[in-house]
Amino acid sequence: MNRVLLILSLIYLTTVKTTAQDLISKIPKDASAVITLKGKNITDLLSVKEFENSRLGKVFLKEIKRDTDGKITNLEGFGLDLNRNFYYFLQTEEGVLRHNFLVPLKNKEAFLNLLSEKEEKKIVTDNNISYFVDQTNTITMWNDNSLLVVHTQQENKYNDYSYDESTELIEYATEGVVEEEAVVEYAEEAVYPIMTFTETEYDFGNITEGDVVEHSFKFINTGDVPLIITVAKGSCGCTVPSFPKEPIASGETAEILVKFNSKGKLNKQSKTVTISTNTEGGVEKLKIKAYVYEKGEDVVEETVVESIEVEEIEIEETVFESTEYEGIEETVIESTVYNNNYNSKNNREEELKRIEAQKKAIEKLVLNAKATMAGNYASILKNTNYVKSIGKGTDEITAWINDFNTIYEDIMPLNMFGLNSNSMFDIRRIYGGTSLVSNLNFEEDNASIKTKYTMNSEMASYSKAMYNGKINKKFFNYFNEDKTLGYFSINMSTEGLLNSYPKLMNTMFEGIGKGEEKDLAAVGTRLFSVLIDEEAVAEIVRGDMLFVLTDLEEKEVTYTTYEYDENYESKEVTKTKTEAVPSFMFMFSSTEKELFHKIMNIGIREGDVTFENGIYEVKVPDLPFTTSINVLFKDDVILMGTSIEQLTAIKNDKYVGNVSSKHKKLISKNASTMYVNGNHILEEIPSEMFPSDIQKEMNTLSDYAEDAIFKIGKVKGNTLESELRLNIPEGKGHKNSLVYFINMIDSFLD
Amino acid sequence: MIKRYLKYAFVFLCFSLFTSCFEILEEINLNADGSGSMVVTFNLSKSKSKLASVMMLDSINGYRVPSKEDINIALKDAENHLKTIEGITNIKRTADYGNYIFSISCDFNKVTNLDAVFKDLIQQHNKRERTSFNTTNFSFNKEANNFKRLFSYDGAIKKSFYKLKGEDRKIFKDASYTSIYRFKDMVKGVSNSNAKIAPNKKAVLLKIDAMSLILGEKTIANTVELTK
Repeated sequence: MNRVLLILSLIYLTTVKTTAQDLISKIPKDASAVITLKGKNITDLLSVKEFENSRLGKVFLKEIKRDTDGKITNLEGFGLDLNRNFYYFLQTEEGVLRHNFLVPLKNKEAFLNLLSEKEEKKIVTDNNISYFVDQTNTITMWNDNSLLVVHTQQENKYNDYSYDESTELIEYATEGVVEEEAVVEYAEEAVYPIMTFTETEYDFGNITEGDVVEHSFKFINTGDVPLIITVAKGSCGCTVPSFPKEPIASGETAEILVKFNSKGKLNKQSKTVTISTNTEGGVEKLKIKAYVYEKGEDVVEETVVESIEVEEIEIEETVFESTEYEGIEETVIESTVYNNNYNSKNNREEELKRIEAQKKAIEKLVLNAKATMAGNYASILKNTNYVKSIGKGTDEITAWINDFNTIYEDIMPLNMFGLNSNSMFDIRRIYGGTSLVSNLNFEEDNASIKTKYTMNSEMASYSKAMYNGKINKKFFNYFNEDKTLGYFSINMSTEGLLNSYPKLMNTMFEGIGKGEEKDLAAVGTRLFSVLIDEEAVAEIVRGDMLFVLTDLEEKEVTYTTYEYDENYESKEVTKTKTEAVPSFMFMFSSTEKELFHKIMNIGIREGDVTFENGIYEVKVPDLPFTTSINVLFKDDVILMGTSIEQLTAIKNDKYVGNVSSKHKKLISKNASTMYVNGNHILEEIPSEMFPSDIQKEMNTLSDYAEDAIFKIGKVKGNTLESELRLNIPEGKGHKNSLVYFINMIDSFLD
Repeated sequence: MIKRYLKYAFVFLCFSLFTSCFEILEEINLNADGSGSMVVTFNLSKSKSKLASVMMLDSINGYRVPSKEDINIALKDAENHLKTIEGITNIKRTADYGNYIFSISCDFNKVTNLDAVFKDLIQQHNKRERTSFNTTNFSFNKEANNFKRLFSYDGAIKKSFYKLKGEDRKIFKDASYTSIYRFKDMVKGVSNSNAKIAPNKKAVLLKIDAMSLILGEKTIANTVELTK
């Protein structure tokens, strides 16, 4: 009881303290995603001093010290308040993503000390707020106790690319047709010519603009049938290949001459020549490269060119700065000097427009950031969905994503993913009402990531049907927990899946609306349900399965190496080494005994399978050791395993299963569970399989190995929960799971 | 069909457990007149479980898995290349897919013939990747009676190594490179401190682990002084 009181008062104290100065009040109610890093919770587990004294901390600080020229020697040096919450939140608006980072400041001077001279020069101060802008899309703003960094990302620029892509696609499609024709001709033989080039890439080096250069690529047809080249094309009009029109017999040599006209090209050029042939791939590619200098320009060495490039970039940056603070005219003059493209009047007007747009973007960036710093609006704490999902846990990190659908609509340009009026998929029906919460939590004896996925009722009903499987209780008779390295279970309902699938498809294609496609989709899905008898399929595979890793068996494998006599004459010798081969048992429910035996009998006829004492044996070929997989049908369960002994025992009802209620629950109550017995695996893996430098650390390693569990729950209401949990070994001196991770990293940092 | 499915499933399970590594062996027997024979052997037999598993798949870690035919073509290409070099005769290649050992051997009239084998390839590589590997690998000075294995380390090796995924880098952890040079004359001394001279003074052995070579900590460059 005392403990409960203590915890309650602690929670009360921390909430009082955090609401007093927490930055969360600056996050707007309509933020699309929020990630919280709870400083206090983290420093409670591992104090700043403890971190600084750990090996990892020391390495980290050493790097920081070097990077900042000795300005920072400890975590305090950043000027951040590590005991308060750090936030990231996302705002979406008409194709623009705004990434906001809100960080509590403890010592403003320390933070300012970290800025570069260049950044310092750009600082603008407005009352108690200061800021500087990088490029046109990132702003850093601060007052006495908080720091905000906003990075904006334009999503609708993809509009431009999507057009280019589609034209390219058409090009490829036509090539594809040629390919197919060629394939058809030789399809019967299924033997192909092979085009072996002496080189597939050629660099013309430095050339002057206007030069026409050429290179011939020699090749041999190393295949057994004649080679036919149907067409060869350059990736631009400047690259013209010529190719032999006659078939090239097996073993014969020929060449492809590629001419490159550098007129109008400048700087680094790289072109591809695509050759459509009757080779197996159908297409062969050649590449040419050149560095084109302007006429009259001195050809300079590569290194010099590089330094010029760097200078240019810096000049461009200063152009931006002058745009912001000095006015436009001067900037245009500057850029004219450095870029010949802007000579024409048209380009000049465009450039002016561009600069105007940039100016507006920066203004907007500053205004938005100031609004966030002021926080004079309804905050995310007024968003009931957020408050309810986050709760008041002792998590160290939480992530929350609001309605997926809104994010999609805000950020995806309309014509991407077919979201326009002719939309293929109805995103709203699939993602509407979908949100996600994820918590990272370091406890004393475990660390976990819990994720809660909430969907709309329609999607939930489909998911429920799919995950509504019941694990076959007989599985527990065929599995011994003490001899298990790990397992993986799936608990789905094949029948539910097959029932839901056509409905899901209909939902997805609902958006098509007017066209014929809608009817087509509906016909298709109906056909699916007619053709597939859900119940019949479900009898073959019911949807529940369990894979158990029972052992790692050591197999001796020989290998050849060399020994040298005293005169260093080498002699081949055969030695042996050990490989670990997994032993496993895989089981799934099936009521189709007859069908199973029919399939296995086909295997016997084909010679792949042997049958003895009621157990089918399938040998795994081509490996340097012998191993086989044995299959048994027993009481509506198909069992496949590496151990014939275990299967024989199961067949004769001699096998004794042993599964604790903990694992029975994990397997039957979840849609899927993955369990790894860390300690056990470590014991089983032959030590020689570890790299020699880790072998010495084997004892230390066992201090860190414990169980890990990943489970996906069944759908409850509209939510699907999953959890990844790592248990921390007891009595090995780890104060809590965060310290455990730091200790683990430390032990490898020797 | 059943066999194939089960085989894939099994291979998938085993794959990450199998360990891998390889050896490269470079042997040269040099006559007093500067002619001789060379054998280069790639021995992957320690990785044969892994390779046997890989060969069943079409691609792994995003790389296409070469078929036996692909490997044969590559070896044949190497042989064809050797045929174009003057002074190189008696070219032989072996491929043992049971143990994954591949070798190629030839006789040469002069050490410079041997050099010509790699000269073009290295020149192309230097141009393409802007590296500065020496294009001369071997030299034999009859006057001074010394044999040189030349090698200049280029930072590009380390760079391309770190470009590999962590999983792929492991292959080099236990890999090694061994060179054995045998002479008719007695060996007076060697410049590489890692090289060992045989008790009969007629052979020099140098074994270097791949990591030291990649990181530039050790070199395969060596000058062997022979008695006149």
